[in-house]
Amino acid sequence: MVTPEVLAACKRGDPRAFEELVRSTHRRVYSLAVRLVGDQHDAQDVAQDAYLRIFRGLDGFREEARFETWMYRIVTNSAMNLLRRRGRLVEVALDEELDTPAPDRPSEVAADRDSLARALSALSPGQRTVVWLKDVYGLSCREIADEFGIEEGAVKVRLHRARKRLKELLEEGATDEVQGGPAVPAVAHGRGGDG
Amino acid sequence: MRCREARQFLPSLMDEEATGELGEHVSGCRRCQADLAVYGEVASSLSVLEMVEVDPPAWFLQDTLSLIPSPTVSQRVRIAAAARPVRYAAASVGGAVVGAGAIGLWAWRRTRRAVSGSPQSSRDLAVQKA
Repeated sequence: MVTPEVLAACKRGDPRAFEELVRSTHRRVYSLAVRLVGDQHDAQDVAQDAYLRIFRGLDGFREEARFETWMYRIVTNSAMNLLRRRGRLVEVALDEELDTPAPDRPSEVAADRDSLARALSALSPGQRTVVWLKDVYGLSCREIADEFGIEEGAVKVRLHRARKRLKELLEEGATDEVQGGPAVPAVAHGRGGDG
Repeated sequence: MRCREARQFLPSLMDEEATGELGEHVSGCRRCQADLAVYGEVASSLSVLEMVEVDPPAWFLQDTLSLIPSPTVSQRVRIAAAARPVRYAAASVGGAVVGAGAIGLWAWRRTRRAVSGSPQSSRDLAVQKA
């Protein structure tokens, strides 16, 4: 949590305050970058690019939003720029996965952290990114749409499908656990779906 | 509205309230309410993931700290003023007093010269006349 005092000192250009800001946020910034670009080396570039932009842009931060949300948006923008340069933005900006009907049975989910991480990993890159940004990091659908360069309605549709799919995966996981089978096919945690 | 239809809309109800037919159905259907509660549970579990961090490489922090810009001269003044506000306020007041004193002294000397200069100039005129 970055305090208002640290933010005020950063706005004055105080290097010690910047240091405190970096120390208290670098893990979260790096984690989001890894989750968005799916590669640790790229994530380092994204995180450092984001910090440079935070240092330059902090004077213009009006504190209408939570600082962390503003910071996450900058990380997202840096990540999208990198994916665009790598020609990989299409993986997250376009999402052609078809909607699947929900099973018509009572809900029972095992939403512990591990099964949630596995279920997230099993989503398509586009769905997963929207869930990370909206439901985990608190960006609005409008902000996500701006970063992806798509309509806000498209983000809402994708989010809707992703939540539905996530619930189905967690329900399947719960059933499999009862039957003794694996929850969801294990997907490498460090590659985009980590955490 | 039937459950099968209503369920298609449940994920979006994390962001907006159910209205109309959907609202009526959900408020009266235990099964859909249970489903909605599950979406709520998933959403709250997801929000916790913000704090689940991926460890960066050991050098990452030092490397990032080296990117911090050095403050400009005006920023140094602002930083120092913020660090010792009483001292800087006293210095400002002292500066203002010294400045006001200097202006007052200058004005007083000018007025005095003008007053003592008048008879001198009439005496000069008399000498010139003679």
